Amino acid sequence: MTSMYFGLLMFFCMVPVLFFVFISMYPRKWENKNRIFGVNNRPEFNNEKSHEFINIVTATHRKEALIILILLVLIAVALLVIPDFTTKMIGWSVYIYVAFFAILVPYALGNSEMKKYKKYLGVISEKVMYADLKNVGKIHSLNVPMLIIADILGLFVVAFAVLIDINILPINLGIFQGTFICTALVASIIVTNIIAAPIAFIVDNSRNDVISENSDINANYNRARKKVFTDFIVAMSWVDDFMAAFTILMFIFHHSEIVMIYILSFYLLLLLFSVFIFTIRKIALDKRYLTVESKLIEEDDDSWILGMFYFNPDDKRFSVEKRIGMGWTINMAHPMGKLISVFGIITIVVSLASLIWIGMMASTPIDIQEKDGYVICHHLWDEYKINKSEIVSAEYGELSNIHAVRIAGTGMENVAKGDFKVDGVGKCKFFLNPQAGNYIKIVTSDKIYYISDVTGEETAEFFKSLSE
Amino acid sequence: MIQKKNMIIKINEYSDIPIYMQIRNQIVMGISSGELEAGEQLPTVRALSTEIGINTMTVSKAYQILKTEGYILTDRKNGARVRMEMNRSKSINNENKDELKRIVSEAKLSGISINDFEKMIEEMWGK
Repeated sequence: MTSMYFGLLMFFCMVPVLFFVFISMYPRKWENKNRIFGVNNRPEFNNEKSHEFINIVTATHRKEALIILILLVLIAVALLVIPDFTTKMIGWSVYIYVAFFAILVPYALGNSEMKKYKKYLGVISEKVMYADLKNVGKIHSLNVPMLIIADILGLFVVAFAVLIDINILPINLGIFQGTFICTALVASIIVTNIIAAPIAFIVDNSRNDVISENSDINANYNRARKKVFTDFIVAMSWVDDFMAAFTILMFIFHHSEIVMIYILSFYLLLLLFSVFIFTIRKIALDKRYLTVESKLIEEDDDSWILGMFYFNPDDKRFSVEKRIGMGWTINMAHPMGKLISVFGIITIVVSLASLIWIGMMASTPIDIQEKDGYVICHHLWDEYKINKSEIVSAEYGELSNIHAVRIAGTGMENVAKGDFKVDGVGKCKFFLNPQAGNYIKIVTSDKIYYISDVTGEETAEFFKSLSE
Repeated sequence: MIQKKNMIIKINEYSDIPIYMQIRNQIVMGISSGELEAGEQLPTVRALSTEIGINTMTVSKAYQILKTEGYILTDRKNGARVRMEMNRSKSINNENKDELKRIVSEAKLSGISINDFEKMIEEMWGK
């Protein structure tokens, strides 16, 4: 049930996003757009010969992107039918990377062709920058009090969750009491506010685009442009506060793990909806202000690698507005930009390595054996050793009869390993293959263990030999 | 609603003229044309450098030259402002004379008539 629900959630999040990426990056008509595959649309492109060439380039890459989109939708449908949750989770994680990479390939190819064509036309990159002296440092749209209040409220909600978890407030979280899962979930929601706040200030103080020789038009455009983004961040900060408060309420009134999945799903949908609203506003703004005629062309196409990544050593700014998608991006030539780029690459590599690791965890069963007076539980690189002389009692039971919550460790469909809290027992060490269906509970002088072998029969046999 | 005057500065990174001189020249032209009014506040060094994406030292150097030449006033409290009254020496310096000589020579070689050339100067003067 959880597996199916997770699959549907991923499907209904990913497929619309990919459609949206396709529509925004591969428009049917390029003439009224400011950029063609991240290259500035220039007056030189308006003659008949250029028109014909660009028509072919855009149509070709649009078609490629459409084929990729169809394939990605088919793969998404195929992922829905995977029954195993862990395999499904790994599949979707890989899918996210592959999908975003694949859908961007025709765009990168188009960018390369457009740059070559510009060179062929003899368009010289002058590297011109404009600044509207009348507006420098004066255009701000961030609603600072609303952002600060939202952030402070968010911190109060986190503090409230901590007070519940450390039993200072007499509120019962049932099985979750003392596990800090409520605090962790609430804090993970609120932490996005803490990250978003400085971004809002950076954007509010970012440079103003010069789109016209009229300073009033520039001022209005930049004020509106910054407002769209900062409003989005302020709104999301309030949404986060409500979500965090709602999370605590759900933990108080509904002591079950499925609650967490519902909360995260609802949050994800809310986030998608906010992004949708933001995008609509941004498109309306661009449509109103940005016309090919009005735009003063800042010649920095060559600084945009593949039309997506900004690398300009001559630009001292740390962040610039994106050419595709929403928001701002880093200047990868800036010292801080270099650091973040390296960090980003490391994150991608680590997350891919984690997927391999999760795959290995899921496909390797736990095994238990008796050796030299010890019960040894082994799984990949982990090993628990229980001294048989310290065992106070041992019992055999059905897993369906116990209810446990993970505190730290691994909790997958076929591996439960680490610290868990069992309803009516307390904190325990798990080393289980949940698919075995049964367990051996070992109580020592200082710990309680729940262990199992690969299958139910092997577990029963092990318990028999242990009892003897 | 009173419409404010426009003052767009254009910086060409590939130009032979250093960036601080490009800034200096365009501010001088802005003051001369009235786009920048007497007593008007100029952006801070930091804000202008962020806006153009250049080093703060470059903008600082441009402001320093403008101050030395008597076009602007700077102080820690109020930042940079266009001077209320310019020093009117009623002459142009030798460097500008040489530049003017070069422009007149090129104009002569291009075949433009002196009347057209004067008209052009009058238009620029008026602006």
